[in-house]
Amino acid sequence: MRVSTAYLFDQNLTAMLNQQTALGKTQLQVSTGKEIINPSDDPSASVQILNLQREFSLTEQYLVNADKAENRQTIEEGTLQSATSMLQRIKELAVQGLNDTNTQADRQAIAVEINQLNEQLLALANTRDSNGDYLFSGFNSSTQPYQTINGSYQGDEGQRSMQVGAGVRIETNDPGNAIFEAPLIETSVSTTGTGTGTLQIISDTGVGDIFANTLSTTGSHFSTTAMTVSDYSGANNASFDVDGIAVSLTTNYGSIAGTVTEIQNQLDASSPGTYSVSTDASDRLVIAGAGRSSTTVISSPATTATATAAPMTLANMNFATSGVAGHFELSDDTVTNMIIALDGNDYSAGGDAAGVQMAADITATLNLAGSNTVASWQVDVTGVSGHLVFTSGEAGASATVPTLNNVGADLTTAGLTAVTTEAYQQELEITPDSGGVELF
Amino acid sequence: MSMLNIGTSALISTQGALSTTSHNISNVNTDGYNRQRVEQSTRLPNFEGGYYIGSGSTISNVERIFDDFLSDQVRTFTSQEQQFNTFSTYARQVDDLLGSPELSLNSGLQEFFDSVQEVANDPTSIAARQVMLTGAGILTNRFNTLDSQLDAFNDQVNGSLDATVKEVNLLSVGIASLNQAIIEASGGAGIPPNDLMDQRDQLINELSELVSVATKEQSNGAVNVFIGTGQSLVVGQSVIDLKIVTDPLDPGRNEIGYGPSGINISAQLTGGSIGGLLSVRQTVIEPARAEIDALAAGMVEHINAQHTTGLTLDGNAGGNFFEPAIPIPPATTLAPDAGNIRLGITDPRDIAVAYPVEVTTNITNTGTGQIEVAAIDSSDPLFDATSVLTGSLSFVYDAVNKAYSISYDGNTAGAITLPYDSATDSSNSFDLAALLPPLVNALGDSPTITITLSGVPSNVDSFTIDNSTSGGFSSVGDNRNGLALAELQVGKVLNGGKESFGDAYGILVANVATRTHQADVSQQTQKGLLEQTSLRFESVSGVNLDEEAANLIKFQQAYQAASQIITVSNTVFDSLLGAIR
Repeated sequence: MRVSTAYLFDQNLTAMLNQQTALGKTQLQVSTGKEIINPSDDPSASVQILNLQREFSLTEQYLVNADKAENRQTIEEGTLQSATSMLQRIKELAVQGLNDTNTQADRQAIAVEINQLNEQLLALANTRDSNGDYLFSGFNSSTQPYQTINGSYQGDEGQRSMQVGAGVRIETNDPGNAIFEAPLIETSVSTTGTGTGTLQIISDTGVGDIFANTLSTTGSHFSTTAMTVSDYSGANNASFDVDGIAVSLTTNYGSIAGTVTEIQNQLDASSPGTYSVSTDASDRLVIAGAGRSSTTVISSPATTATATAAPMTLANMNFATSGVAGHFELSDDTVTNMIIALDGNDYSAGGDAAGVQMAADITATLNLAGSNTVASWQVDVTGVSGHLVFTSGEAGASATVPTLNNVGADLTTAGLTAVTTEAYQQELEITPDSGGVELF
Repeated sequence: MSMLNIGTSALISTQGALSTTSHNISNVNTDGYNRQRVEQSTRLPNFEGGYYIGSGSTISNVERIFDDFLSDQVRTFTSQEQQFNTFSTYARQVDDLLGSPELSLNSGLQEFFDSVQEVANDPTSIAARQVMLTGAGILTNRFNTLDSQLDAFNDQVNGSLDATVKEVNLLSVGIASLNQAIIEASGGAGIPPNDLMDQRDQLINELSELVSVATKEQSNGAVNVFIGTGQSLVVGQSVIDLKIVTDPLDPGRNEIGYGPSGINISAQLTGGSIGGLLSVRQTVIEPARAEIDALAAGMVEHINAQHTTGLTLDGNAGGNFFEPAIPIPPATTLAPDAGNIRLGITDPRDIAVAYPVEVTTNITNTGTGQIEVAAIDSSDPLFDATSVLTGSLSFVYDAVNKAYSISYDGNTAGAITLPYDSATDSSNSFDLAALLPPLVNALGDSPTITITLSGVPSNVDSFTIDNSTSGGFSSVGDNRNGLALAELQVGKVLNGGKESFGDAYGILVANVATRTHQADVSQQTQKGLLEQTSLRFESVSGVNLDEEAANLIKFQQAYQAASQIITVSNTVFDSLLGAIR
């Protein structure tokens, strides 16, 4: 092919210039230490770089935040350690003060020291962070949380969070009233009786207040929702204190009104006209103090609810079906969270094991295919109302009433009644009305 | 005699060949020059009664070696290469601008949000608040700078279009006058004036660098030039001018007008610098401006919305952090964009870092239940952060029915129960304004807050939510609104909840970078094509000095031989005279 002379020169020149451009770019890359100088050099990589830069900067800021959070927490931790050791010392001094060999001067010295420790505790409660913010006054960080030792808390319950990661916030302080104050429990409860139920005070209305706010009950005689202090048969007694006035319930008072009257009478006997006992619309026991603002509500449901918190153990009882296949059926018309234990194995609703099957819904059936005898059984009837049915064979097949051994005492304890509704069945009713698991 | 004549004709022909070769050599570096070649032919022979004796040679034509097809191809590729070249020059400037660490919004956003986090860490620190204002100022400056730079690019495009149109008009005039000269020079006899044609073709080549052209040669030797979709620029000796017209909808947008009435033909024009300028404006500069404006407006909207939700260090309602705020219809105030965005507050105490409502947990609660304020809806134009609630929101838990009973501002008639089962609902959020039946105060208003319930509350556990300002504002250490502001850095709030601010900027950078990259690649492709075509064109029309040198010798020898014919004829004549003497 002919080649034009001028073009030949041009081409050589262009080639040289191209190489120079490429060299220039490479030198720029070397001198900046970057492969991508302009986003257009590699658009997708440069967007990734932007994203990574953002992530990097964000993470750096999170690290800074975490440092600050740690600083504040270190201050709080140090303060709380000091407070703990002071409390320890106060305890020691208190124990020391108990000793009868102390002289008046000794006791005074102890009192002086405890006072000083108290002052120091106050100073600790008023600790500030590096920015001058009070650490223990919640969001009111410019407000001194406690003016005096017995002063009321001036802060709020705000907790300052810091962002230490994507979606991770860490709280860097605690409100002072949660740390330096604790509610005084002024009401006590005691129970007697053979049952496993306990009645305990969960909380009090706070320092200086008289009444316990909520009584909660646990145990086989009491439900978390029903205060039950006595069983049906009256075999189990319960007593509790209201401001030191003992209330003792030793029998079945027949009705809600009867029980209310009994409690009112016992309180009036010690402190006439101070308390009024009643029930609210939900049949919850309300003990109100005359002229007092607080009310003691013993939470309890209406008569429709029932059941116990702890498992009803009938360990001595066994169940035999006279040589025919039988089954174990718990019909439950209120809740689904029942547990049946056979020979120590738990079969919860929906479980399935070794030929033992139990439906998850209203009716649960345990078929005893292999063995006809269950040595021990346990039913958790928490929140359950229904029927527990033991069946051997079916109607017409082998109509034998299954034997329930050693059940008498336990049934009494549990407040259950055995009834025979069919020739081949033993049925236990777990209904609130028939059982003694209800006070009212 | 005839021998002398033949010799003379040989000398004349060879002289012409020598001249043309010299002309070729002398124009080896002339732009647009196409090599020429002398076409010789025999003269009419003499009839000598029975036979013909040749009578020497004559120059029948001086031919211009030229391939129309290749020439058109060169112009096409020139136009396209030039279009991408111009495009990439401008796009690269935008690319540099958006990607530069000093001007990038990416680092501006990062610095600003870092400073927000610092304020959230230390809400009472005036220093941290001052840094946040400075960071926000830097960010608004970046927006303003980007906007003015993009504005400047737009002005450059306008200026270049203006200059280019003038150049087009000059070239058109040049082509038209050469057309005139060519028609006159050929004198109707069809003798091509090669060098004039070269000049004209060169002008058309130059025109093709400015805009794609099509040509049509007329029988009289003139060439008509068309641009766009057939708009004639040069018809014979007459010219139709282009001129700059402004877009009636956007005075800052120069368009190409055609003819005396200035009909806008921008949309029809492709190729060359004009094509490059128009397309870079349409696909890079204008979208970038629009996206930066949208980003600025989105930032103003979301940061203002969050900021006005909060309370300042002095317990006042947070104002607009950025100005101008999004206009609320029917108001027709100036909408925010990258050019006018500025800080709305100047006093560091006015940064609203505290939340307007606080939760109080009853100290006697025995459960682990918690209520937190997850969000506050401040979209109501009448929203006032100092009085979000008209009174206390009171919560009491009923463990039997597993529900909170909630009343608002003591209005028992409007109280509701909100089912909450800690086993399934923990950490769920509930919008109190959207409950059914509605939770209302005595005026029938619902609280515009969303709460998160968590933990296991005991029976009769109670909570209240109150305005932070109730009983005097003292929550100076509250940083919840600060955290919410900082959260906007990663929150996907733009473009229907799909992009964060950083994402949106990244997408903008990617768009510009991709277009620039594409233009670079296309330019390289077109350049390659142009080079190949030019090579082919030059191989036809270009001057090769070696070839010309060889021709020079060839014609020189012919000339010497022709001279010898004269000498011989002289000798012959002398011999004849001698014979007579």
